[in-house]
Amino acid sequence: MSTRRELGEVFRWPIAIGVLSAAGLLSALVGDALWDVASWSLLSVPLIVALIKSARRTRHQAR
Amino acid sequence: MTAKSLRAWAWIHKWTSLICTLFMLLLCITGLPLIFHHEIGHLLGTEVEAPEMPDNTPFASLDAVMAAAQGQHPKSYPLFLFRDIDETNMWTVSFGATPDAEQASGFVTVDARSAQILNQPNFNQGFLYVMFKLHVDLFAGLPGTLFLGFMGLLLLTAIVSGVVLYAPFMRKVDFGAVRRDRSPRIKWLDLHNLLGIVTLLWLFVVGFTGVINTLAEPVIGLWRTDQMAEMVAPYKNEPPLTQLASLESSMRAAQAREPAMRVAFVAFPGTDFSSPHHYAVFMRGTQPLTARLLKPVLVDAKTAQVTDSRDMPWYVTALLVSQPLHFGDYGGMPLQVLWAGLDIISIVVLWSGLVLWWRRRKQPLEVMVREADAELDSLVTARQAL
Repeated sequence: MSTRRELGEVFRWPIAIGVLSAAGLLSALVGDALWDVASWSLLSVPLIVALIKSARRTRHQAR
Repeated sequence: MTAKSLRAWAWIHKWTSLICTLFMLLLCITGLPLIFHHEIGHLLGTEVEAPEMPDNTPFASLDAVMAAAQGQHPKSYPLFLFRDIDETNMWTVSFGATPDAEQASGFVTVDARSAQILNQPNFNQGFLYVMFKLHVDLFAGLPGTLFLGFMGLLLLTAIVSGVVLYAPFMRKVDFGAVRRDRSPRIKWLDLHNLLGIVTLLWLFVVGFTGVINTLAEPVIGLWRTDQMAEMVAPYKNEPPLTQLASLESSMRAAQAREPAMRVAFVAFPGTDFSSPHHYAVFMRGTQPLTARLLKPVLVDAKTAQVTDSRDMPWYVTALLVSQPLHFGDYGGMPLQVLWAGLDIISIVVLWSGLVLWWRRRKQPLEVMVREADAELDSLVTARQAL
């Protein structure tokens, strides 16, 4: 908690999520069927990360 | 980052956000039902399904479809004939008081096989209409639309400056950590950073394509005076039409010109999308990538002969490609649900930003960053507790 992070470390996860989201936005645009399924899975990533990470707060609170 | 540039970015983030937040909240909230406008339309009974018929039922002549629709509006002029992207079994015709009416005065939905009237929707009233107007132009026409476009530009600036500020905030914090054991403000701050950074790309794309959509009217206007004007120039001195050629023949001629494409919509003579002497049959591709792109085929409305057909210029194509990326209507219901989820998270990002500003409105944002950055968290917490 007290160590300072390099820029690359700070943005490692955000960049990964951004790349997956972009792939999700594009894949439904280029095709149907499997491309749609890929799009749904990829675009779920930011939602799932948001839900898990913000839910973790309440779990701590319950302690 | 130097203290000076930090202060500058903090200033940018604060003011661009503050100015656009209320409008963005409005857009996120009104956009939510618009994602599901078809489903809501069915629930409200304003949209209908074509009745089940055997797959090989032949289509009625478009002239019969038009005759049925015109029968409901004998004194009006047809403006557009259109259908949804996946719909083949019904057409909707809009009517206006004049051939160049800006706003439709009536709509008739007709079965494409039996030429029976299915529905007479009123798209200019009701819940979805109010949501649509609030989302698109605040009931203020083009100036309202352009205003919202400007608010969208502020949002994009706020997003970029937010990413720049994310770094100093997160230097000492794990990705996605929400420090619930600190002050409520730290908790809101962590939540704002977490939700903002994970939805970043989606919100930027939806914001950016939304801004492009606000330019739809000027873009179409440019196309009219540019490519469209060239295509219809030979007809400039023709006398006005007294009678229209068969729509069915006109559409067949257009289809023969572009056999690999499907009819998206037809603009009747006199509208902004045609000329006083032409039917404009707008064709679309059949592949996912090309289904959103339109190609107008101009048909002489006296002879039903094709006179010209050109690919849309790049600026119209850019507008057409940006539309699905804003609406989220290109990947079935699951994509709509994801769009709604990401929209709701964006509402929380906007709201948490507003809360953070309200609680510390007398303290400059860069001080907040400094505190978060300079290991003064405990001091802040202590002060909050006092």
